[in-house]
Amino acid sequence: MTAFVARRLAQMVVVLFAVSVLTFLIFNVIPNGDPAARMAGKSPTESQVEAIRAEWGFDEPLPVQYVRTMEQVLGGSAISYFTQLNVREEIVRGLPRTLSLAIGAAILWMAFGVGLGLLGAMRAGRASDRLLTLLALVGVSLPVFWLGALLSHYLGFKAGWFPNGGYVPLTEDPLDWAYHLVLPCATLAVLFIGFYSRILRSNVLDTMGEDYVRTARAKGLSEREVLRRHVLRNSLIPVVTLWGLDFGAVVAGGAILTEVVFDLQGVGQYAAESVGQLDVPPVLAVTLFGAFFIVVTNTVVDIVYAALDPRIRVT
Amino acid sequence: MSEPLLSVRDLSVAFEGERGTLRAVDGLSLDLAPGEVLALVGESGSGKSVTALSLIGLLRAPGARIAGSARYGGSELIGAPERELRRLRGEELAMVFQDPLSSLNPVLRVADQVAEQVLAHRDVSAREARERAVALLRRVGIPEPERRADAYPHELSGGMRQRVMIAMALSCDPRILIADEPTTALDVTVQAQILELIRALRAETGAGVLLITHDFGVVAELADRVAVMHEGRIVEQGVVEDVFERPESPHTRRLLAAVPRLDGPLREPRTFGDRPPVLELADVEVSFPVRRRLLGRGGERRRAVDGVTLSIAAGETVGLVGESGSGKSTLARTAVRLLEPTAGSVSFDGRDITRARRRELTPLRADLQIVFQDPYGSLNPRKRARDIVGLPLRLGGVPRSEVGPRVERLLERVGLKAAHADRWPHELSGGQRQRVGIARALALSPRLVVLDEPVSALDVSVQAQILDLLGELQRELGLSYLFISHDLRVVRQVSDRVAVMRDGRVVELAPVADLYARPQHPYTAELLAAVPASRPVHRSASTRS
Repeated sequence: MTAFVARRLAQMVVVLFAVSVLTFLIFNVIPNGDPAARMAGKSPTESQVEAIRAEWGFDEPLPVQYVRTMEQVLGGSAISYFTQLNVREEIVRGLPRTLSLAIGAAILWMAFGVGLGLLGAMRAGRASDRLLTLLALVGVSLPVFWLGALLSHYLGFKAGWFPNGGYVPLTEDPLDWAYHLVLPCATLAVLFIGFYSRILRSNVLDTMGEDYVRTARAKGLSEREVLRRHVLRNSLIPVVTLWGLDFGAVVAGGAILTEVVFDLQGVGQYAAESVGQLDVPPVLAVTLFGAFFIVVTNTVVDIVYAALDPRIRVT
Repeated sequence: MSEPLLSVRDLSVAFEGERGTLRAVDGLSLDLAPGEVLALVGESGSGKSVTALSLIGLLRAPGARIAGSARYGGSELIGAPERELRRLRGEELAMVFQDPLSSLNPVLRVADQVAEQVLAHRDVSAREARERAVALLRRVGIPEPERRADAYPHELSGGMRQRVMIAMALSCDPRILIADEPTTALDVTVQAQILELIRALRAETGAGVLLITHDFGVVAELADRVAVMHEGRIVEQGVVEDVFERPESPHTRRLLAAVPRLDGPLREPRTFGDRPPVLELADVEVSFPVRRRLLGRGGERRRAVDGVTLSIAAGETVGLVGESGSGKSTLARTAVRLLEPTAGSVSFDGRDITRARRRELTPLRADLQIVFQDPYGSLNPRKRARDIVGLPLRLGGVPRSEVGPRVERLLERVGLKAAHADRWPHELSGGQRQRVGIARALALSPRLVVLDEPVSALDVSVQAQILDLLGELQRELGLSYLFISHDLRVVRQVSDRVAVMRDGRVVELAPVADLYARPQHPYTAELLAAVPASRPVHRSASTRS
């Protein structure tokens, strides 16, 4: 176990290094990527650009620039080329928003995915199961920006049932916080509910055919106990691991569209804006944060998987 | 005869399918007395398990129709409401299934799985249920039950797992125990222990036992009465001695004749001393990493095969017996160089192929073939028999136009018809599938065929046919066989020499007649003693009804 975590941490250092080098290089080979020219504003003189270049150190060799930028990113002193705002502070400001959205959505999609999946499995082959299949297909096919805009327009703007985007910190007003998150979380969750309900349905059907489920019935357990103790628990194991991985992916950038549609000002939205401006320090910082989060959730998922299924050992 | 515990009359089970109605059980009647062991014997597909499952209301196949009557203690089981059946299941009618690994929930601790049943039927606290579970584990002979109680099924051996299943079945003192092939998945020494346990528990509890099996050896060991099933009907029913001594139905006679025996005829002794060996294994060792270190190198290794020396002459059959985990299959795969040995050498036809690369082995693949145990898992379900048998021919460079006719000749050679060529594996019976596997192995006229448990998954009568076929092919084609089996009776019947394997080592290697008549190693003697009897075992009459 200790060796497992140590090995994963070592791998993480390698991953983060590779990710940072690649990200840094991409912004240096991209056309029109010269930050000095962009920072100098419209129609600058050559000397203005040179001055900025010298001031920010863009004239130094790439490895030197990389090391310096990384020092700033990791030390928390990096600032955006364009807004001049401290990158760490921006991420710290956006993180609760992204996490609120991701956690809320993850709870929603797990609850509804499992519920609908179980319902579908119980009614397999009947009309209600076919309807659920159809709904899952529709849910998976709806683009987030379209669904989000639609919900925001009709339920938020027209009906006035929900706020029209924005975010209220939890510490300020918990009720208002939750109220603002309903539509974004639902929008983000729809796609996953579609997937999860399908996966759970087929897992449950497979598990029902297992010999140990027959054993459970032969013991005289009620159908409810058979379902809860033997079918659902075993069917949930792969779904729980998937859940962890998807959660990591959502925090690390999967929620960008939802954040933008509902103007949540989360980390994803920050990343999207920074990429648009070819703003290297925030992009590097957000990318590293995302990679870090994915590696951590992966490791946690592997440990949880081993805890849920005693046949698996982490090595 | 005392009042029967269970009285089944005219039980019929039919499955409505696309191709019409299949009658799996057809007018079956039987009685089970308290304290009696009634064996329900038949080949796979004869309706034994369907009968058992319908009795306790666990037949859940879509389109199944159950008719007739099964009376237990004044109540009717067939068509009883689910509530009533649920109360009876586990409490009065308990069941032990064939494969204890798949029949136990892999993610729950064994004591919890036993306790769960106690909780379902008895008004006890969780702690009392667990205490009872531990007591039951002790009663079925699990050593250190307090410690084993917290084990998961995969942490126990096959025999221990089946003991857990039995503990579970006994947890509420059932009146009837239905055991569906309780020892089929187990090694022979473990089988003997489990049969002994069931025998002791029957005497102790006075429960009636309905024993479902295809193995007449198990019947001889345990049963008081036998009912022989064939195509959903009972074709013969009687006291076990009578059925063994004076079988009336031709089906019974055929089944009995097919049972391999320790006292049956041996093959003619042959000598191969002057012929050079086809395969030579010298000090072969195969080990696998068990645990990795931090950087993934080194670490513990487990030796699956530990210094085996063995040679096989042209036309000879060497039998290899041992219990599961003894290293038989690893040795088989190493012999045909599907695995590379960690140490020692493998020679084929005097040529060292220990470290031969994949490309160097390709031409040898025609000579070195292997037939696997599971005819269900080892054929690609998405290929027709024709393509399965034809693939090695095409890989061996046989022109496309000749492949078809040769495939048909091969199928004919293993006793299949040309019509079978276009079937998918799932459209073939177990025996037919194994014939396809043999035809595939024979396609390029090999000189050595490794047969890894080739008949273990088959019914006794099919088993006998496949063994005959293998003998015939050997005589005609001069094949050498390495015949691997956990069944000492089968190995005795087909081998010239026999090697006994345990913990990766060959503990005894001798001509077949010597090994069975005068085993030198105590382990060989132990294995032989565990083989089920071929005649009913004499038991005290007090347990008879």
